[in-house]
Amino acid sequence: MTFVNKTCQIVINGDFFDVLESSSLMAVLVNNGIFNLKANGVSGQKRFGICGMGTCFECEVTLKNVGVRRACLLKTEPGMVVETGMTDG
Amino acid sequence: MGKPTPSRGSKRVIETQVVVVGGGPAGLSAGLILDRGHISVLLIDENSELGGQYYRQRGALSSSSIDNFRPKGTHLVESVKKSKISVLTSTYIFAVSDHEKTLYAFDESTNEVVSILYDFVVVSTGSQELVLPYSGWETIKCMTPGMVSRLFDIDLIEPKQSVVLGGSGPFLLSVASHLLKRGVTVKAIVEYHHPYRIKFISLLTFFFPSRLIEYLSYRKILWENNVSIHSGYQIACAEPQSSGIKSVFQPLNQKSQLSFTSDFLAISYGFSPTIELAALLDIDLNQSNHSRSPDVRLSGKTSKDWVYVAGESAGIQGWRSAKIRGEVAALSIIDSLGTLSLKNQILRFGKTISLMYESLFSKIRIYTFREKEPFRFVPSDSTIVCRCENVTYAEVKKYLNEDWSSASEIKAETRVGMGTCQGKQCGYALNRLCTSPHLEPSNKFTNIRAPIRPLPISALLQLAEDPD
Repeated sequence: MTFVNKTCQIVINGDFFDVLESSSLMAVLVNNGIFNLKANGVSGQKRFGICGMGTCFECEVTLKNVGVRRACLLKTEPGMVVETGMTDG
Repeated sequence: MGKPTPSRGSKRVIETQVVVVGGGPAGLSAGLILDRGHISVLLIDENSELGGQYYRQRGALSSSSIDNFRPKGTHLVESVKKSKISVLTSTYIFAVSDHEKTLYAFDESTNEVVSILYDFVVVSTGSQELVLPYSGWETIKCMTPGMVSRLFDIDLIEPKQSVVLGGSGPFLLSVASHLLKRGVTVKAIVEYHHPYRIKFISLLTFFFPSRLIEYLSYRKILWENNVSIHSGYQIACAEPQSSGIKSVFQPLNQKSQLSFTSDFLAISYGFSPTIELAALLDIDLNQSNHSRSPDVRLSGKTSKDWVYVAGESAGIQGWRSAKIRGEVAALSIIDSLGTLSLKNQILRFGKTISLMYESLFSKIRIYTFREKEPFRFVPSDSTIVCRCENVTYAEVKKYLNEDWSSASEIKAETRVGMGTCQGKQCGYALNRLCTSPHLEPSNKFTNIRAPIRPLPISALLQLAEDPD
């Protein structure tokens, strides 16, 4: 495992966060108390992932200029712009 | 489609002798053996980092004082990275070609469709936790034990929180002891069956000393932390309250109900193989009333000569077995190419023997946890059956009929299983709703069709540009 002990800045819901590069995005979200990851497309109810391995799609967030991605599969990258609480349509 | 458009720039084509799908214990070890046999390997994983669930890598850490998680896995991942194996992470397979040996993948890091032309495919897509919906399971911080373990062990979230674990299986004990080691408060383990009563079958575990020691070490940690295991209860509902999640467990016999309040609630009923890719590749599946698994021989061979299945996707036996299955499948592929050395033949023989030993242990586990018996599933009207499409049991009930109601019919009438996750979370629940005695086992499952993952429109456009 390569430990890149380098911080980078990412944006979550308009707020800036200094985080370690290549750390788990899920960890960053949860450690900052962000559990409202996705709004259900039918009811609008707030949802958070339940499986942690990419099958439930309940942790989908929007990455600016990239698209909708599962937060549990991602690692932080410099300049990442994350929006949570959106519906998947 | 009309005439093929000349612009095909964004679609990548990769040719490889073997494509290994899934970079967990099985996929990593299969890849390494094939690479040592001078066979070109492409290893694909949906995650941004190799390791799968068991060997999931922690990523950058804020504190260097914490050791890396499961160093053996880190070593395997590093060996793969140093080898000649081509690795594609953040990439998932969504379709297969019917007539050629081609897989279609989507690379999330580049937003590209990748066509993979191969001679052999190793399906090592792992397993997933079995969940049964209960009232309130859509509440934030209600999850599976796998996810709660990931949050505390891999993502290293603040440990001063409490967890209640429920459902069934030995995994609950393993998760509980890992959480306790991190300083998390485990309020209780609530097990559906009574697996921890001493019975004759328990004595057989003496033939598996490493497992017995593992089990005793879990019990020691639980005992030291005063965590009790309540057997014979099932989750009835979860309710968010200001102090946390209130969970209520219903007894399966005449006892009174149990109730807890915790920050996290984690429930699952063991694991089932991830079979989507195996099904798309159209290999034979074993079907019982409540589960489907690929029909795989000890060698990893399936009903199609070029398809091998290894690891948990071949059947639930744990990580030790997964690794061996990966190695055996790789050696079998080398054998079918006619280049298996005498040394490797002996290695394969030895690995096959240890695989049989592991299978024997999993038989004991299945018996101890009565895994062949279906879990009770009595949802309340307000219980959400399908999370993605937000379909409640009250809506599903209208279409349930004793004489028909196959899984496909319930799906078509109610949209259960039609959402983003494509029925992966509610699949077991849907299966359990098909209670008609007239149904063939195959009608209790929905058909698996491409795409097995939701695809962005841009990917479909890239496919449409393909003249084939």
